[in-house]
Amino acid sequence: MRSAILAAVGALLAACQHSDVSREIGARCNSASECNERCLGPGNTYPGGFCSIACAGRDQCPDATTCADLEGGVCLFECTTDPDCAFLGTGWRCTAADLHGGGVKVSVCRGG
Amino acid sequence: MIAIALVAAAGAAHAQPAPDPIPTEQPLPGTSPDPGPPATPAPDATGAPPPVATGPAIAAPSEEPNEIGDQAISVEVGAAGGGRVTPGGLRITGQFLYQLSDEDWFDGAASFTFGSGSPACFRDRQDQVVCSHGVADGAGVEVSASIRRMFAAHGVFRPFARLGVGLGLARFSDDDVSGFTIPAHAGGGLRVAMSPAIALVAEGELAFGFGSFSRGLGSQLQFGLAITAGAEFRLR
Repeated sequence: MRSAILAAVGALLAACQHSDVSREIGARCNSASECNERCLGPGNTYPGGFCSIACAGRDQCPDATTCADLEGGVCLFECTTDPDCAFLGTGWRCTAADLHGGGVKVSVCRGG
Repeated sequence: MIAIALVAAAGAAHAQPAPDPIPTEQPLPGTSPDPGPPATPAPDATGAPPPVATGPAIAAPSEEPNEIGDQAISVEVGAAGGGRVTPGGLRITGQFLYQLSDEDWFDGAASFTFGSGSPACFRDRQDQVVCSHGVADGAGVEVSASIRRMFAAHGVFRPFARLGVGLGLARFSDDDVSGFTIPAHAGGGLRVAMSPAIALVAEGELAFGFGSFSRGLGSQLQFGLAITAGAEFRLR
């Protein structure tokens, strides 16, 4: 009985789990079909692949992301230190990049 | 399996004898019994027929006539709300009611849910598939067996409650995710008798259970609600 209750509670918690990433931004991917818009393919720059959206400025990116002047302008997670990127998995670090269209530097999560 | 057991129980319930009718064939004071069939009462002094009917027995009038009938079918249309891996959207339900006792009916239902097919599954950073479908996504079909308890009528209105379990299939086509579900249902509604054979029914229900899905999703919790309305037709 007790194990059944624990299993039910576990299932409930699993069902209510919240993911920091989504099809729009942050999900793993191998192709664009796994994302809402585009997939930055897996490799050293984007370990595991990274779903993102094209942008022309910071205001076009979701919360906690910014428009990096990479790949023609894509939204990437903002960060201040490497641990901020740990939720993306191994190989991700906090690195500097140009803000797309802004002429200033921003810190975003990337591989490498 | 549960449905078979419930139907068997229904058959046992119907094996009970019907209530006795009110005895009506008693001689009136001052008159002699008529030996000839069928009995024809003699007119009284005013020429009016006697107040007591004779011949075939008349069933006792109950305080709450059973306007629902032993068996009935209904068709309902409404909206179902799902989310994550529970389908939602347009809900069409067909039901078969079979009387089990004075208050309880077996309620067998087949319901169909039609929602959008937009993709909402992805691989999170731990490479686990996560689906975050909206309240009106996916499609599903389900058969369920429930017990419907009818409460006392208030005029033409009769509230009821329902509790049961179902077995269903769910499909989220754009994500290529399919699964089977085992939800429990709890709900209630209101039945409005429009005629001896037809009633309008509105009800709401919650569904809560588990499902097993493809694409590595495995076991997932199911939670949904539905609000439907339709017509019920008495069969017997």
